[in-house]
Amino acid sequence: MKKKTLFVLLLSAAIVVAYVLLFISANSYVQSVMNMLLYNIVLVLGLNFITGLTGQMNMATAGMMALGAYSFAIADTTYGVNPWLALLMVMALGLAIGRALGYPSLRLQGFFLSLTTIGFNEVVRITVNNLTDITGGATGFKDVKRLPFFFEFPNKNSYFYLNLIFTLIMIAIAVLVVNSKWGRAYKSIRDNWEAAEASGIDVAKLKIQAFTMAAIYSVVAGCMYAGYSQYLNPTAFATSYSQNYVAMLMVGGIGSVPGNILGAALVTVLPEVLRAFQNYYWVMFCTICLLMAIFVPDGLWSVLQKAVRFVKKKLGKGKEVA
Amino acid sequence: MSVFEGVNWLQLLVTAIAMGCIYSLIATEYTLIYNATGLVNFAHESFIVLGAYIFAGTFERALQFPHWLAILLTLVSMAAFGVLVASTILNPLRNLQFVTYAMFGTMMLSRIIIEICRLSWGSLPFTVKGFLRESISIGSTVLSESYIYIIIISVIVITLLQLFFKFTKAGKAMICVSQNKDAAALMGINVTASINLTVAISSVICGIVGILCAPLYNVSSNMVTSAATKGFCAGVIGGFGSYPGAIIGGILIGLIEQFGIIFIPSVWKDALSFGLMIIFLLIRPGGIIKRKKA
Amino acid sequence: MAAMLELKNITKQFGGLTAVNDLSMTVMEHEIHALIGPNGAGKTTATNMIEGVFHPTSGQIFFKGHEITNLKTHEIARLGIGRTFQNIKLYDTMTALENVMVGGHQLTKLDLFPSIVNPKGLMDEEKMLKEKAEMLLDYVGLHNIKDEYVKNLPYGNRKVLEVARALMTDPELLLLDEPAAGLNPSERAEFVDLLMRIHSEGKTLFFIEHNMDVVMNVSHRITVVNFGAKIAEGTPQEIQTNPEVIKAYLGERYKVK
Repeated sequence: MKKKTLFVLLLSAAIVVAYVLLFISANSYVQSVMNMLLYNIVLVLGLNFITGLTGQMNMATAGMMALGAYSFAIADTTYGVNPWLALLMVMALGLAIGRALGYPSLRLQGFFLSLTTIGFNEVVRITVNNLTDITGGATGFKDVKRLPFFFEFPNKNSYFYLNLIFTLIMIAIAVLVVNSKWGRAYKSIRDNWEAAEASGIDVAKLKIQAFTMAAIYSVVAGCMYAGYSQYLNPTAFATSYSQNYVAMLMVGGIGSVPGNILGAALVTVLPEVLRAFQNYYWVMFCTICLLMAIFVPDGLWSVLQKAVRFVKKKLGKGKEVA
Repeated sequence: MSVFEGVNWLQLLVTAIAMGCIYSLIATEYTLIYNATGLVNFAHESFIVLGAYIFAGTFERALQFPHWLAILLTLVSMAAFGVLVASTILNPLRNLQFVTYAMFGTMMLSRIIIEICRLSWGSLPFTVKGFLRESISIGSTVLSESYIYIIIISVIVITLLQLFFKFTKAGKAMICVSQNKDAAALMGINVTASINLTVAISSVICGIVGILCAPLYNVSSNMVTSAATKGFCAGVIGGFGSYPGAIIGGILIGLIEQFGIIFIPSVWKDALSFGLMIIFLLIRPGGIIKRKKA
Repeated sequence: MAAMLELKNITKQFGGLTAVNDLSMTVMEHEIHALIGPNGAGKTTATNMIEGVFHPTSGQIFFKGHEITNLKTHEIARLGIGRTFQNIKLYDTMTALENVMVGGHQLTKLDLFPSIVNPKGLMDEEKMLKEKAEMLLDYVGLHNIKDEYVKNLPYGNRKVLEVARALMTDPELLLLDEPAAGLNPSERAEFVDLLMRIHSEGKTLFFIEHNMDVVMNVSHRITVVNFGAKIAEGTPQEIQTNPEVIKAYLGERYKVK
């Protein structure tokens, strides 16, 4: 546990350093990819609670993010609410969405639940697309007002750092939850909910709680997105994006924070790195994902962990280490 | 009263039933796989797109075969494709530890197939010239030829499927496998072969849907995205896992969305079926026809 | 001695099938009580009703004088009933230690939001859970495999681990569904030894079992059910000589020598 925390701290520090270095020579393209990575990390961390740990497929991540982004934009830009207050309101909305979406998860399992979440995502996208007066419809919502932080952020370059702080806070909370009794309780529901109930765990309450965490993380990511790009468009919240977030979760490693970050990074950055293969990149990437789903379903992080365990065992044989 | 002005009821009804038939076929096609493997095939949309591309892109556009030969060869290719996918991908997926893994697997399969279509046939949408593009006039009503064909062919497909289940050994074996794989294996049924056959039949139906949709939409990688998702809604509303339920649910959605747009703007058409599905999932998760427990 | 668990006229019907029919029985405090009967006699149905997996069609269940008939499973578990399963139900993706620690979740106080704003408190709870779980693993003799993933453990270890997880909830009554099933004679002897140690710490044991050597050697009282109804109750000696029990279940082997 201590070592794990230390490791995550080191990893976060490494990310920060990498970012600072990148920004010394930043161009706007690299920067926008890096910002995308930030909110993707937050989304995947949220998805991890419900799909990774609790084992309930959630394909509404993009829809929840859209609700967060649009309500933030409408509150602080259209109605002139204080941006920080708007952020709080959006988080309260996330709480409500989580409860509303969590409720079906008590009655529905597996595919049925995933269909509900797909339905939810589509309904949100269609609604946002068609409430033209409020959301700007297909032409998009322009000039979203940013969150100030003692001063107004003049441009994307500086606002990026606020998003970085948000991401680090969300990572810290995720580390705390995943590596404590909560993470274990969520996992126990996924592994064997009958046994979890018999151990005194309120499965219904925890399922809704995990959904709520996912919803809050998603709406916060939505606010980060809205503040950075200042422009919202319904096409960015289609169900296929929800599938992308599931892919990040599965590729990196379900259930662990470093795995989530790894997955988000790989799926976000790789397409940009592999521009040369552009035409074949996507099919290559999906094939790798499918093969991983069949042969390494727990994700890359689990492979790394297994390797570390194996090496430790080999080394431990000489000495007498428990 | 004004909303009903200028509504051509016959035309609307035929459109509703034809679209309903498409949804019913889609619901039937993934119900087959669900019953046989316990997996919901999120890749079914890509199967349909693949069918449409093989038909329109290869046999019609590139090789310029006559329609009947093109259709026949498409269905044969789809059956072969079904066996291939069943034995290499669906079989390993259905044995994974968590159902979320299998869902993810079929999602990725879907993207791979769509990408292969885009790479092999190009990303520009195209049409099949001279295939079911005529229309028939009855008085003031103009009925598209393709809608009539959709209804006729759907009825034939669904009847054949029922006959197959009732009267053939392989069909009965498929029902056994869907109810209890271990017992079926003990009775001497080759479960893997039976699953392969089921997926092949499902792929053939996907191919038929793809061919039928070719005149309705341009052939492109997202031609049936909304229809495929509505097929899911149809299955849920009718009763997941039930074949009559799939048909009833499909027709119901076809009727509701066609007649619904008399009252609400047509942009909300899609939201209507999703909303209906969510309501059904919450209030009556078993659907209209609850499946009997084996 | 007071009554620990009381079943009063419990009936359970599934559709037209009566699985348990007007069953009444009492488990006394600090007693080892066995429930036996042929397959399909309604033993597991009865345990499931005690644990709140489903609720009786009619009748009442009391635990230490409180009615628990219609409570949910986790509420009943929190009152102090621990349970093991006939077909072992462990959390396969976790280590042995983590499995046991899950059992202690309900002992902790911090809710989700408070534990995010108070990481110190959360860490203290973690430490408490870990110490307690390690102690229990030591107690059942599995401390050496605490970091192994349970899916890699042999059957006997998994069975014992389930007991440790149940003990982690601090139960007063331990419900064991076929504890000796699938164990070889030496494992069985160790398991019985463990049960006796647990009993000597003041816990009440209630178990379903088919192995008559275990039942007759361990239990203080035995209840026999057949076709969902009670046909006899008494000490092992009384049960072994009861002609109806011999006819319905035990057979000639257990006739008085």
